[in-house]
Order: sequence, then C-alpha cells, then structure tokens
Amino acid sequence: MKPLLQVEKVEFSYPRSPYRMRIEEFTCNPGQTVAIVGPSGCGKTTFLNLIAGILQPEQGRIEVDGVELNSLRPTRSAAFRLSRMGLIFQEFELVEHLSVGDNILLPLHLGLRNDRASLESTAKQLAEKMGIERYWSILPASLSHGERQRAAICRALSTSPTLVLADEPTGNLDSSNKHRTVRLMIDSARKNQQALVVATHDVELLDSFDRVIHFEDLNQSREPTCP
Amino acid sequence: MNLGGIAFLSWKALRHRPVRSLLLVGSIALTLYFPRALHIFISESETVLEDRARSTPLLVGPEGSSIDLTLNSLYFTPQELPPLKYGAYENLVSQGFGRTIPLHVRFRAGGAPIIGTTLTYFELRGLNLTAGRWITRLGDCVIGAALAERQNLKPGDTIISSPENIFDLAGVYPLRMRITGILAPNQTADDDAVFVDLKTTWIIEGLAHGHQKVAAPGDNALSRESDGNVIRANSSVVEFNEVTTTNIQSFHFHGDQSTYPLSSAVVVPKNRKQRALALAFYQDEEITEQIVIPLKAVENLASTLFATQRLALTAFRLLGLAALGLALMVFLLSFRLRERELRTYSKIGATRHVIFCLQGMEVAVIVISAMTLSLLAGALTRSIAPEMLSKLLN
Ligand SMILES: Nc1ncnc2c1ncn2[C@@H]1O[C@H](COP(=O)(O)OP(=O)(O)OP(=O)(O)O)[C@@H](O)[C@H]1O
Ligand SMILES: [Mg+2]
Repeated sequence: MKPLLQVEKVEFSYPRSPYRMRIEEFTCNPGQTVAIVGPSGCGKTTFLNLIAGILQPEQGRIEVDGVELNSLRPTRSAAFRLSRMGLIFQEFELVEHLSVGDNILLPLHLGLRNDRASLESTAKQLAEKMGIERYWSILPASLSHGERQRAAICRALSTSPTLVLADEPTGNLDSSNKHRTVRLMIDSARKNQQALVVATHDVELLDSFDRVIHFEDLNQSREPTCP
Repeated sequence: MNLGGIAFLSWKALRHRPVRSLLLVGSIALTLYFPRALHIFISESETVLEDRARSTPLLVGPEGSSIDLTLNSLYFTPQELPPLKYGAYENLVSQGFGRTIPLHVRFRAGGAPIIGTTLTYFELRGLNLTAGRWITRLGDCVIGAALAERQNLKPGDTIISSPENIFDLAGVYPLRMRITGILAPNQTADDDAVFVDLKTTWIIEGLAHGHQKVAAPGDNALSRESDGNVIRANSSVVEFNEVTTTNIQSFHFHGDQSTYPLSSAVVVPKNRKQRALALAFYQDEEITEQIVIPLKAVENLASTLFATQRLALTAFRLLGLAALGLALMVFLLSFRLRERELRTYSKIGATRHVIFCLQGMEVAVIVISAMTLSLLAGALTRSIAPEMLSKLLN
C-alpha cells in the first residue's frame, strides 16, 4: 500500500533560533494512527506544521496523498490544507467572536467547496458525540478549556479530511473525556481510512495507537535539540 | 472563493466591535459630508439669491451700499440705509421707465418684516392667496404662508406691529392690523412677511393720525399681548393704534408728503430702451439716489462667498485627509490586534487572497456605509438649505 503521508530528508530551522530539525524518513498509511511523543520543545508542533504546509522545509520532500506539498505555491497548498487536512492546534485557535457552531463551520466560510448541508449535519453529529452540541450557538469564551478543545477537534474532523494532524488534543481533558476523544479520533481514522498523526505528552493513551514514535529518534539533527 | 462566507466573517468582526465600527463610519461620513454640505449651501444660496435678483430687474434707492439696498429690498433684511424720499419716488414714476413698485421695509410684526407696498408687488412676485382676500383699506395686511403657520394666524385675526424699541413708545405707536389674506408659499422671503399698503407703514411711522374717543380701559388694543411682550400704554398718551370702520374717515396725513420715507423702489422696464434710459437717468450727478442692478450686486456677493468657500474647502480637505489618515491607522491597528484571528484562518487553509478579501470587505463595508450616510445627509441638506438660508437672511 502506498503511504498517505511521506516525509523524506526534511531539514528545517527557524531564523534566529539554534533549533534544528532533520528527518530522514517518516510515513503514515491510510487508516493508520501514529502518536509522536517527546518532551516539551523537542519540535513536535514544528513537525506537524511542516506536514501541514504551514511551515516550509529548507530541504527534502513532503508528500500527502500523492501531492508534493512543498513544491506547491502557497495558495495551492493552503487550498489543499483546507480541503484535505484536519488540524487540531495546541492552542485550539477558536475565533472569539464566532459562535462554537460558526467556528466548527469555519472551513466552509473560508471557501471549502463541500456541500454545506451534509457538512453541517456531520458536524452536528460529531458535536453531539463529544457532548458540546448544546454550546453550538454560544461564544467559545464561555466554554471550559476541555469543551473548547472538543470544539476544535470537531472542526478538524467535520470536513472528512484524509489526513488528521492533532497537537496535544487531549491536553486539557479529564481521564474519561481523554479516552473518549482519542477513541473517537481513532475510530474516525479507521472508518474513513484517514491517516492520524497525534503529538502528545500523554503516556496513558499510547496503547490505543498503531505506532508510537519518540520524536528524538525521528529527529537526526546532531545539534542538542531536546532539553 | 466563498464571498458569502467572507461577507459573513467580516460582518461578525464588525459586529464584535460596534463602537469602533460606528466611530469609523461616523468620522468618515462627517469627513465626506462637511465639504459637500458647504458646497451645497453655497451653490444653493447662489441660486436662491440669483433667482430673486433676476426677477427684480432694477432697484432705485438712496445712495450707499448697493448690497445693503439689494438685501433690504429683496430679502427684507433690516434697513441699513437712509430712507428714499417719496418725492424722489414720484419723480421716478413720472419718468415712465416702466412699472414702478414702492417698498417700505423698516418695521416688524410677529417676528416678521412689515412690507409697505402696492398690489403691483404681488403681480411682480406672482403671489396668490390661499385664503381670504386682498388688502382693501388702511390697516389691512396679507401675510406669508410660513408666518401664518408659525403664528397660527388666519384671515380675520389681527397682528400688532412691534415698537422699534420698548422705550420708544412715545415716538412710534404700534398698530394693530387686520389680516385679510394668507399668501401661497413661494419659498422666498415673502413667505415670512407682512404686506400692507404703503400708507399703513406711514401710520406706523406716526405720520398719519385718526381721531377717536379714548376707549374704555381694558378695551385698549395696546394692553393686549403681542409676541409675548405685554404692551401697556396709558390711554391718555395713545392716539390711534387701530384702523376701524368708524375711524377710517378721520385719518389724515400731516406735513409734506414728498418727504415721507420709502426704502426703495423696484423698476420693471418694459423694454431695453426703458432700461437703458433708467440706468442713464441715475448717472446724473444732480440726482442723489442710485440705481442698482440686483443681479450684479448679488453676483458680487456670491464671488465673495466663493472666495470664502474656497478657503473653507481647503481647510475641510486638509482636516478630511487627517481624519482619513486616522481611520486608516485605526484599520491597520485593528488588523494588528486581529493578527491571531487572521493567522488562524490561514493555518486552517484560507489563502492569502481570502485573507485580503476579508480585510478589504471590512474596509469596504465601513467606507460604503459612511458614503451612504454622507449622501443621505447631503440630500437632506439640499432639501432644507433654502429654508435655512431664508432664516439666516432674516
Ligand atoms: N516561531 C518560532 N521561532 C523560533 N523558534 C521557535 C518558533 N517556534 C518554536 N521554536 C523553537 O523550536 C523548538 C521546538 O518547538 P515546538 O513548539 O515545535 O516544540 P514542541 O515539541 O511542540 O513543544 P511542546 O511540547 O511544549 O508543545 C523550541 O526550541 C522552540 O523554542
Ligand atoms: Mg507543541
């Protein structure tokens, strides 16, 4: 089976920062779930941003579903991200003046060409499964941390993406919600043949994933990267 | 690109900061409105002034400022010039330069000027009655539509001329006048004026007297309230203050009628020749009166107005530029504040194009609202400008 996500010989560094990343190879198949673990500051978020096309590597190749992302023009790669990827950000990135529902439907407002009615019904089902449907029309400011996080997850999964990238998606959830949320993401990946890459600190959850990778093993940079 | 979605997100962002949005709309609207309003006002005043000047071919009056003479005769502004003697007027009439209409504009009643003239004046201005009938005798008046509405007056009511000043009771006696008709409005100074026969103004001047048994106390016209001023006069001092059917026969004028005062006379020549003759007649050094072409006088005034307008417009434009600069800064700052939100959009997958449209849409909504507002305000200004102008002139 051809991997859905292929990362090859990627090198990256931030301007004015000693941090270096060099990844020889990383792949993920459709329906496969991968957890990336590592201490704070070792580069998990950076790696996910590279895969998403939000950051550009200096070297190497990143291919998602047969499309070489880093050779696309920024506009094309943004459009690809909008339609094919579901992103869950470490800081949720909910827009404060939009209701929870509008935050979840944000990809539609921003130009995603999916059918509005079916996307809305998928989103509402997901919201119900995550127990946040009653907050649909209120502003995220009045939600708890955990509820906001679930709204962010709901937004990422509603568009039925082929690749889901999740940065600490369970960081603020209690134990039972953690398991429920991870279960939901993994089930969604298996059912829809999505590739799921999750960056996490949480050892409690690692059993659920097909593969667990320590980021220090992945990053071949000789610089002392992780504290 | 999903324009509906972009419009939705822009709208939400604008709604989220209503004060900021309204302040922006308001300040941009005002910036656009001020120079426009000034322009409307000046051009409207030019039309208003010129229209009336055009329908008043020539004016004869005492020597002095031609603008004062024109403003007094056309817009009934307070008289600044010495009177035109009735003798000079008779001399003018005898020359036969065309229709000649005397004007006496000095007194006021009910907050409006009293115009002493002849019925020809109404022909000149094309004035008709909406109620009542024309003046038939001394002490009668017809009044303009605006005055009638403001003071709630109708034919059969009376109106009392105000004393020139409250300490002048011994000199000029207020006259109670009978309103016989209300004029149709013509959106000029005529709407807010009291028209009487020339001789009636001479009664107010104190030049005519009638004789009457002093009325019983309480029946005295002067103890009535007029304009909120209570005028009480001792009946032994007061002679006649009202023309009635019983006393009209006894009215008589004192002194030399040729010295009686007028303000000016309108001359309407029948043809070019008469006009040329009239203009030439007053070139004579011997003659102490002047002839004025109102249109010229008004054009002079307008050119002064325009010079002022240019100055004011420059000032407004500079202020406007500063205000627009500030608005631009507010936009830039607010986009700065929203950098995180915009970055979220782009992280989710909004193209640069979409982000740019989002910002553009917000600016456009604000600017278009402001423009609409200033256009509406401009239209409103245009519709009320003539009325405001006539208020300002009086
Ligand atoms: N925008 C940036 N500019 C410069 N350096 C950055 C930037 N973002 C991250 N870094 C640096 O890159 C390194 C990796 O950061 P990253 O956020 O990817 O770590 P992480 O593994 O996600 O940490 P955490 O578990 O705390 O989220 C850190 O040393 C950080 O200081
Ligand atoms: Mg991180």
